[in-house]
Amino acid sequence: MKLTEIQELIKFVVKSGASEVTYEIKGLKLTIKTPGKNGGEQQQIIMHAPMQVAAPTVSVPVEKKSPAKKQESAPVADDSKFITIKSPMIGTFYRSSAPDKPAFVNVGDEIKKGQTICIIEAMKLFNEIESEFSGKIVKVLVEDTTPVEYDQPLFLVEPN
Amino acid sequence: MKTIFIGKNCIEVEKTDSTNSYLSRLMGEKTLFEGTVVITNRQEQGRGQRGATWESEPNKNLTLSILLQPNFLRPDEQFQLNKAISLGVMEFVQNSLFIENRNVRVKWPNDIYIGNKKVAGILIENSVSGNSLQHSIIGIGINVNQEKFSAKLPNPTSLKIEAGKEFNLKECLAQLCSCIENRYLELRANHFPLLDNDYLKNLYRFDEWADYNYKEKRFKAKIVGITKLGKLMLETEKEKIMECDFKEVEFLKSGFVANQ
Repeated sequence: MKLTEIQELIKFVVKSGASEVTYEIKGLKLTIKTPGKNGGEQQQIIMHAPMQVAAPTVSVPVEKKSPAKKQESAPVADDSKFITIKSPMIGTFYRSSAPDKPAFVNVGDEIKKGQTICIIEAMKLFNEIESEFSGKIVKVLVEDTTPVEYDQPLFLVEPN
Repeated sequence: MKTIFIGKNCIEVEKTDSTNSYLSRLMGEKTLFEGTVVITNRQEQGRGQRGATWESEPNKNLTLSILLQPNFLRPDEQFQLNKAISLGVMEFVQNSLFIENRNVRVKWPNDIYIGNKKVAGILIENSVSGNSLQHSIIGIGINVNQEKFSAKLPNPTSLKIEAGKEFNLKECLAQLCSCIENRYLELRANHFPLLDNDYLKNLYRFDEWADYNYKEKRFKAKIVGITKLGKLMLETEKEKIMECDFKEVEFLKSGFVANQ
């Protein structure tokens, strides 16, 4: 069975709303479990290969329902020395503590581990995001006061 | 204080800009126990949601902040913390009133209402490192003995207005800490379904037809639930369900939307 065929099958099962489907063809048994309507973002696929081959468990991430990521500028791919700081949650990205306050960090600033670099607000809960390492801000990847997704790159940092 | 940890270390300051800011600064200077409370009789720049203010007449009300360390929660579970705190504050308000006027509710996400009037507000500020909550500063403002409010506030009330008597602020603080601690311990014990259920049961306008403004459109809808991330689920008359973000939706007074 081709990978594209498996992908098609997963899409079909997800669309159908079924929570579990088992599909058997030519000695290959494929079980697709979906987390249900309100579940997470991953569909688990368990493949049972015949005979002595150990059954591998494959997790295939399926596209999120949420709108496309708004990424102002893509991380520089060729510069592997940079680290991206990603959003730990869904919410609204703020660069300052209040509308009339200066930004926590700007391009070129040296940051320390534990330093607050932005705020992400979700349902009126305010989260000060701390940097997990020291370095220099190379790029701010998201506009102030715009929505961010989980895992969306926020800053590009050159670590010390 | 009959609590285990909330309010055991209680720092009283004569006046400050905001108790949340004060507590945050203090944390930069020394290690503080979980449950530390900062309280003032005169909060001069009380903060509400981003850019908004919390006004409180000196010596009349409760304005305080509590330090918590809910590092057992992931960042995406933080609305559970909001539920626990909101229920705790709501229960303190309920206990302060006579049984016959206990029409106390949590207005999503975390205001406390008596009838259609606001008696308390909450401002939660977390710090997040990697994939865990480090600490939370829970700012709480409760109108206790204040009787006159600025004309620009849409619908304020106080415990004194509702109960018709003066309250002792020290006793109120002890009661409040106890109510919040009870709910916080439930959160720590992972009683999420209990918190979910109680939050919905006590939610202002839950399962009632009312008027809303969502993304600049006015319509009738009823609250049918809260998503895991804390979004408000509104069902319209056409049985369409919408998941609303805090900034996208406004609760309107009745009469804004004509009956159809």
